[in-house]
Amino acid sequence: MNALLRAEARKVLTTRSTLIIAGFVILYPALSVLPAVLAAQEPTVDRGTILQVLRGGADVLTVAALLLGILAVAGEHRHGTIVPSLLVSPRRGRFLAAKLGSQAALAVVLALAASAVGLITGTAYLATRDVSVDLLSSDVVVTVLAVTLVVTLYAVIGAAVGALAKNQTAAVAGTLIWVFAVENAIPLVVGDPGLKRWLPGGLSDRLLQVAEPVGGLGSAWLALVMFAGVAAVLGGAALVATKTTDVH
Amino acid sequence: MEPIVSQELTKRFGTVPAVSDLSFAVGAGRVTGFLGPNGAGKTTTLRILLGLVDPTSGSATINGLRYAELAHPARTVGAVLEATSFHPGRRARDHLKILATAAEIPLSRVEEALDRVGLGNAAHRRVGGFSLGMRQRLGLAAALLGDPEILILDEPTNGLDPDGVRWLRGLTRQLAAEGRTVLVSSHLLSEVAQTVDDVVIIAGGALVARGPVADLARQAATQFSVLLRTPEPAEAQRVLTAAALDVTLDRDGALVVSGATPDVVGRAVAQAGLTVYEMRPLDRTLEDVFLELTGTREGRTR
Repeated sequence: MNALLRAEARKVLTTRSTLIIAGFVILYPALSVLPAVLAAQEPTVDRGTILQVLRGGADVLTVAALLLGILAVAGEHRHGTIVPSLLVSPRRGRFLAAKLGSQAALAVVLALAASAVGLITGTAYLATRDVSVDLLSSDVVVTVLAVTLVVTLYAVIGAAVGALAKNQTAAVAGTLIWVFAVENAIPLVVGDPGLKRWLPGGLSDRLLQVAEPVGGLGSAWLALVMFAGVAAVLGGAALVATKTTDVH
Repeated sequence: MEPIVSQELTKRFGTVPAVSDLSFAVGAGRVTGFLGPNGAGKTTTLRILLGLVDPTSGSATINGLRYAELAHPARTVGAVLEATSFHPGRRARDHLKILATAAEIPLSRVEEALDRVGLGNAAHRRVGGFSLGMRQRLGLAAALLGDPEILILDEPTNGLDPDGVRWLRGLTRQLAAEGRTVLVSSHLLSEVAQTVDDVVIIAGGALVARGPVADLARQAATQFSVLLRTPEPAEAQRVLTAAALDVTLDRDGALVVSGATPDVVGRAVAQAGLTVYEMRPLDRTLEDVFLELTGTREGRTR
């Protein structure tokens, strides 16, 4: 299994599109602070601003994690590399586990790196506004952990979607349509705006706001269980599809 | 135990049969040509053998095991299936390093394999800039990474120029001389006739012939056929068929009588009082035998 994980790491490090996306999401928190720095009339800031920077980075990270997961698996089908990959690793369950594991590990690295960039640039900016932030305060630490957890689960979901769809273009398009349109449209169509919080995007939003007094810690745990359940169900379906589908 | 065995192998895609009850074995240390026209089921059979496609029934084993059960698949079998299985943005060396890492093969093998297929100088180049021939070579390098005892090559000459085809023949002979078992598929017998010891010929997913290629050559040398051109081909076909001869009508209207000599054919048409424009013995080549076995001789109606 270690060998497969190392091989997956090599794939990540030798794929330019992955490196470009990774570089962008790591630097995004710094870019997101820049408009506030350059604004003629700077917005009101307080120590809660640092959490906004972290969550802003997470919004981009989650989409990136989904896309990277899809590219990692559906990309193998698109480029035909699934054939040599399965020839050296014919036990498909282990192959998929390595895919999901490596994408999860990449997501952890990206989330922590982006959070570090967000914290450094955010605190530096806040310092110029005479606002000090304790980086080890519980709300900051919990938010960083929540960002990391949410991004990791999205990476697993992305890889699972890639394994289920196989067609990279369809998987990317379908996922983006779901994230940016369908999840917002369903509550409107059903006529129940509260439904959004039970969809994957709503569940992950609740997790990212774990440091806020919204709905209490209990609902955050429920959101975590449900969101992890979504990842587990999709991962299970991906495993069945990977093990039973012919590769041409 | 024979290294490659297909036993009553059947694969259907929906209701369409791709492989039907196919049984054959490949001898150790032999080069075996796996032949058949396009769409005969060669690639499907090889993919079943390599664990990429599940059979509907029957089995395909390597050293007595299904591919996925092999302890070290990449060290046991090297396979080249198609020349498009590469990420175009990845360097050739990186492609092989990924496979070597996954298969727990020392990375030093990467340079050795690249050198063996003549890609040592292109190792740093991205595969997207490779010609089809270079991709075929890179596929071979991947197959050789684990120094396997068995090689499975699916139409490896596809897209190669004549120099590339000659190089591949030489490499196949070298690999065989090293004692490896090689199964190489092709839709042209002439492509592999010089390199293979045995042939397995399939058509329509079913076995039509197998055995030493020398047997086929003997068959070609001992079976006669006669070309007959007449203004009354339909009547001539009726007369010759009535004389228990195997007659086929070429696209240009000539009759080809298999398994007969000119004197037999000449007597039959003379007794029927038919006019003959041309009659001559046909030289049968190995390729003729192959095409007849697979029922793909161009223009024939059988």
